Amino acid sequence: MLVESHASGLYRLAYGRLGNRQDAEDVVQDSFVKAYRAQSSFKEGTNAEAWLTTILINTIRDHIRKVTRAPSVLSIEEAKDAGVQLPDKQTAGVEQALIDSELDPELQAALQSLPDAFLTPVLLRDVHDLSYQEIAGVLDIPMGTVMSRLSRGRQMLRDKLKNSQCAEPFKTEKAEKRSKVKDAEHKEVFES
Amino acid sequence: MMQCNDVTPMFDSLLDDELPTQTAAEINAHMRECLACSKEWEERQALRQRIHTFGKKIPLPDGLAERIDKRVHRSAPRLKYFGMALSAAAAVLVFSVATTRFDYQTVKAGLTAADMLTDNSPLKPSSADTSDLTALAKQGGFDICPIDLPGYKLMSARLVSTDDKKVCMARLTYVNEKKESLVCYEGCHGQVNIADLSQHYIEGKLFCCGKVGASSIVYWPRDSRDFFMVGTMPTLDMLNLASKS
Repeated sequence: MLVESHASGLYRLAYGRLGNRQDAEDVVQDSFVKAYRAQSSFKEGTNAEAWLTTILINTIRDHIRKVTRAPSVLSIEEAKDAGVQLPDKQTAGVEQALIDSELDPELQAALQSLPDAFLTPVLLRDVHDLSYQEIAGVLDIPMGTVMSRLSRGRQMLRDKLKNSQCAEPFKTEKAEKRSKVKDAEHKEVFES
Repeated sequence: MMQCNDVTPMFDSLLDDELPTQTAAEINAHMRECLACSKEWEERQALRQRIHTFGKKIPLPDGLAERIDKRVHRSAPRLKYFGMALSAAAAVLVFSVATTRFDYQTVKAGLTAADMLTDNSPLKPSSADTSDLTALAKQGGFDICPIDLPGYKLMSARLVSTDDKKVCMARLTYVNEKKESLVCYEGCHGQVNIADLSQHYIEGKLFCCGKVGASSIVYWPRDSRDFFMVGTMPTLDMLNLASKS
């Protein structure tokens, strides 16, 4: 029951944080196993989603720590120099590439570049729809800190997206209308 | 009337519906008069919507819930237990003799149950057959609770253990009216990996079963104790019997 109700939300949160399907699924599976083992610590009637999210966030941190500690691997350049046959991207990561292209690559890159302290509150709020109070509970930080990290995280995102010259997706409907009107005016002037 | 410097720091809280109604109304009133703040607000709304849409568009892998269920259930029988016996059908079982406390990572260590099928099985009788369970429990250092098997009566019991005594279990033999015997093992501490057995939930309770050669085996954890049933009856009949115990 818990799996059915919460797996999709947790997966999306994990994907937003880790940026790829396999890692996201691994940490979500690990989180449910941990939750199962720790079910005695869950109090009936309390917020199951927040409890599971806390477990997921800790599992993601463990995962990142493990990956960071893993021995460094050969870079692509080094591999090429060594004559290693690299897998063709078209066959190796077609599914992942397809997912990436259908999402929002600029936004995803900007999200991935944020420090964890700022990215996680943004994802918890904007992807996972938790309230400030729930985020404070999940991350075990004061509500004021949640607010400041959200504000700072979103500011960093805005800056990164502006810097990556991806202003197009930022256009609001009003801005687009204004732009179309200007184009029409320009056309009229030009034609006259 | 609020000024720009008062308004913009509250945009995030306004976006997130975390402001009192009165404050939100004051900010909106300011924005109706202020083009700069209005533009800034639109940009922030657009970014939030963009992140939200990004989250909603993340495709869910097919079969995610089923795979999670499977992993959770596979981990279930490892939650508690330790040694075990299995004179016959235990080729699918692996047990750890290293610890009396649950530790997922060490489950893979230990003896393979295939070892149990050989003549050099590490589990040896460590007491004589008896019907005095109280004396046996005292000797083993743990409670022995005969299970209520419909149509079967307890005939005898004895302890079996490894040489180092780290694994010690009660082996209870039951018989029915046709003089058919059924062996059950009981233990209450340690670990067991029974990932290779098929797992079933009957009325919300876990039962694992399998077959090796002519022998069937059923395992079920209950109330911090673990039970194994070994015999030659069909696996489904044994599962049915265990579920009624």
